[in-house]
Amino acid sequence: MTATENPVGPAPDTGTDAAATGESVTVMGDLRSHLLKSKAGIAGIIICFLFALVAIIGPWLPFIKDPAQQSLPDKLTPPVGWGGTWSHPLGTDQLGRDILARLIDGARISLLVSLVAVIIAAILGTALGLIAGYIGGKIDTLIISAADVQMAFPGVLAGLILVAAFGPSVWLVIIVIAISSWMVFTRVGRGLVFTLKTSLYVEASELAGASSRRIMWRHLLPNLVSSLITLSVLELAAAILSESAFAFLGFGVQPPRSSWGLMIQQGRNYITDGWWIVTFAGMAIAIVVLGVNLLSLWLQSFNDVAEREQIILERPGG
Amino acid sequence: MLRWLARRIIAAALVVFVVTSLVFVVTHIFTDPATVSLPLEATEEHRANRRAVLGLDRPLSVQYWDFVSGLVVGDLGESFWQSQPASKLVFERLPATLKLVGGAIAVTVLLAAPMGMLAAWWERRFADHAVLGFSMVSISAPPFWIGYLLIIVFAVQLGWVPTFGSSGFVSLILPSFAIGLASAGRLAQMTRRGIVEELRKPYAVTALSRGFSRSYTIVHHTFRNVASGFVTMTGWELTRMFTGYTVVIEVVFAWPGVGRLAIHAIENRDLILVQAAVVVLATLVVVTNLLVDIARRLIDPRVELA
Amino acid sequence: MSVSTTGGDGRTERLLEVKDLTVGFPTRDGTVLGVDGLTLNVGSHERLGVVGESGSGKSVMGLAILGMVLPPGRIMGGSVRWKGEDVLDEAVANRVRGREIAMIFQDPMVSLNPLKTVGAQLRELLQRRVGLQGSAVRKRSLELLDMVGIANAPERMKAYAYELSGGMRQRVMIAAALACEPTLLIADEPTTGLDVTIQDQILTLLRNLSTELGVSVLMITHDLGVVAQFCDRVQVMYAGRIVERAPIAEMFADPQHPYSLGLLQSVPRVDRDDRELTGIPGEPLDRAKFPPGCAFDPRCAEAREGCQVAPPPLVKTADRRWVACYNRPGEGAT
Repeated sequence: MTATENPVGPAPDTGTDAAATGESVTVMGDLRSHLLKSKAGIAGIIICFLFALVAIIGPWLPFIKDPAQQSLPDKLTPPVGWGGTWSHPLGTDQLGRDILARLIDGARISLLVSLVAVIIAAILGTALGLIAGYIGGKIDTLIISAADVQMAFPGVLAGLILVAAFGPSVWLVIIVIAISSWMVFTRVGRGLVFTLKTSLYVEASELAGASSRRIMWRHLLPNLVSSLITLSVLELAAAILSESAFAFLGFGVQPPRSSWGLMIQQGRNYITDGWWIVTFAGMAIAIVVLGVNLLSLWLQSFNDVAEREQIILERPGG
Repeated sequence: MLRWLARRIIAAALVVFVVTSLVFVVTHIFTDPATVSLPLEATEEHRANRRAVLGLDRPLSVQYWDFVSGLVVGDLGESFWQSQPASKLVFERLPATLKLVGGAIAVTVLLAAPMGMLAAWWERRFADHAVLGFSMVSISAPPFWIGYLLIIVFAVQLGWVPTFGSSGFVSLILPSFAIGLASAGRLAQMTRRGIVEELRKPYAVTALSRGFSRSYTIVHHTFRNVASGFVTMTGWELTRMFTGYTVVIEVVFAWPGVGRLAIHAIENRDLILVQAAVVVLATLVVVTNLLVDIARRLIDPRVELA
Repeated sequence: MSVSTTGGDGRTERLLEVKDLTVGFPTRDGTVLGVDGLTLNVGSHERLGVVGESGSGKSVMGLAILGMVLPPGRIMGGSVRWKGEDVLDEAVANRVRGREIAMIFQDPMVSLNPLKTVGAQLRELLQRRVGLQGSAVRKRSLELLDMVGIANAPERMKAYAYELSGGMRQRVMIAAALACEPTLLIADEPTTGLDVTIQDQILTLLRNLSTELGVSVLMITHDLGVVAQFCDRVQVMYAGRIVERAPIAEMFADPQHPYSLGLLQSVPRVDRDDRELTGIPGEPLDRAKFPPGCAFDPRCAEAREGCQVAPPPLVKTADRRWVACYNRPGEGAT
């Protein structure tokens, strides 16, 4: 590894991906059988699915209160088990609003912002990586230098300066997360293209006269998909954490809307007599990020297993 | 080595130059410090006056030259909010941030190295899974939340340490852990993976086949070979701390560092001061990367002269 | 010097007895057996060759004999006995490894620690595994380097692996292996990747040392030439199983298993130029797609019905000759 390589967690190897070159049907089949053997993978998928479901249908659930409804007599009601009642299972905040309802409401913002940011970063970053890797030359140098500079100028700093210049907004947070993540996709995409570029079938289609765009779109991209999905999941975990940090600093969504980070910011003045506000909001972030991380770990191990088997089969024990 | 070093330093300086120029583009072309400092309902006349006062009515090229030449001599402009040189304000706060990062990196290394070794030693056994569990949880929890949990448990409930502020060594403990746990989780996994991979390499297999124990082989053979990767990752964690964790953790613990200064500057619409803080932090990131590269060269002479 | 425990002519005592050794590697498609029911014996003063193509499990075997399998692999069955003691018992293994059974590996470039000097690696062994102290360590180190034919030993002690030539590195490896005066040396492809002339020097060195010091050698190789030049006895390995076992002269004169025959025919021979050089037809091993029967069946010219049902057992066909093939019935078989 070189010092300039991606600092964002354990990115998958930039070697060719054994799973990607197989038929997609068998890959899905393998994926499923591999999943059933992995408790972490199952846990990750269940957590992600539950959170996504709650974020989507949460407000229509029958027993969920209005997240904005204040009730000062009920303020700072503790959760069930600490003297609270089932009318507010996770207690209430300083304005008497139901914590559970606000968590569900906050999930929508937190997850949507992160997801959109990662999708933007993935599309932009992958496109740049494909272009850099496939065309090479000066364009490659330019793109990879930009990625290097981006490494030295991480998202939070960009966030500080942009918020100072333009004031807080949700879109700003999305942009900041996306620009602190695109280069990860660019680097990995570029690395993969370098190895694929010399592969037989790409050379064959070049000989057959296919255009660069067609080769990139039809031949290179499909082979990157499994690695890029793995990477996107990894980046999603980072994005959710970034979103929560920005919301906590007050850079993102503004009251009365809620997001998990914002709930922690608002609850922090009550940690002596309302510890549950901060605790449950943070727990929501931690659990969903854990779920995404478990999913990512499993996806990586799936790719690793394919690689490891190659090694075992080629050189037993060697 | 010297030529390599010179090249690296020039490249680093170039990155600082590009980053600061980008900052200038945002703070002087997309908007300007005068506009930011005034409320939205301010009149155009009001703004023009303010621009004139701050010298923002001059041509952009002149302003840019001022900005760059100021950077070289450490002049980062005048803070509007505090009516003091921005560089003075930032450098006053820098020691606190460095102290915090120092504490956090100490926590990181002291936790990660032994945990990584234990996990590799008992590969696929209980200790390995336990370390993996710790890592997964620590990298999944937001650092500022960890900060509040630590405050709730150790300051509020147990009363062992002060809740906020920076009074001496004791107050450094909680924020250092809040920042360091996630880094330790990542670094422990990296160390474990590095050692496990090294243990599969022929030289380590040879050492084991000579009858050296697994622990001896890990400590005396693999760890030195893992060290260069360890240093690189530690450097990455340092840059993360400078740019991300410290800002939120300084807010959580009311720690008088550069990050909290930047947040206060934002609240007070002081774009010049935010710009100064960001430029200093970005420079710290670049310098850290440079130091990491040098350290790697010193540990492992085989590191290519890239 | 010699640690031989034999009396008399020293040709009969069994040192190493491996029985039904099985090593498995879990994969997505189930467990792949790297070594499948391996049986082998090495006597004192004996030089046994194990020959097979890459992927046949011979490297796994070498380590498994020392009770070592790289995770996620594990030893699934069988026994390894060294002078009657169970090497798969970790306590025994810790004593035996390096001290009584030493191993040298294929690629000396990567088998030496890249960040330690030659002297440091020898010193570590002599201090921790032999128990030498003080000036004796340096004296013995120089003696060892001298023994393996390294000129200018005091200089070489200060060298790192990457500063040495391939042949020199392998000599250092041999010196390190002999540091603890082992009784058995397992040599895993010791000459692969070296120049032909260097190969020859290393083999000659190994042969001379094994005779002088009375060390038995288990030579693992894909190269029948090495076996012919070096060994007394040979076992042919295919897909983790032994398919033929014979004294060296008889193997070359009359290979019985179709795979051995193919191997011999694919090797150019100096002593006979009448025969045409042929390869073995079919794909090399794909360990994930083992047939349930004889593993060689898909490539075998003599395959017939019944070969696909179960792997053929290794049976005795003549004195000191064993073959695992349904087409070569053993003594007393129908």
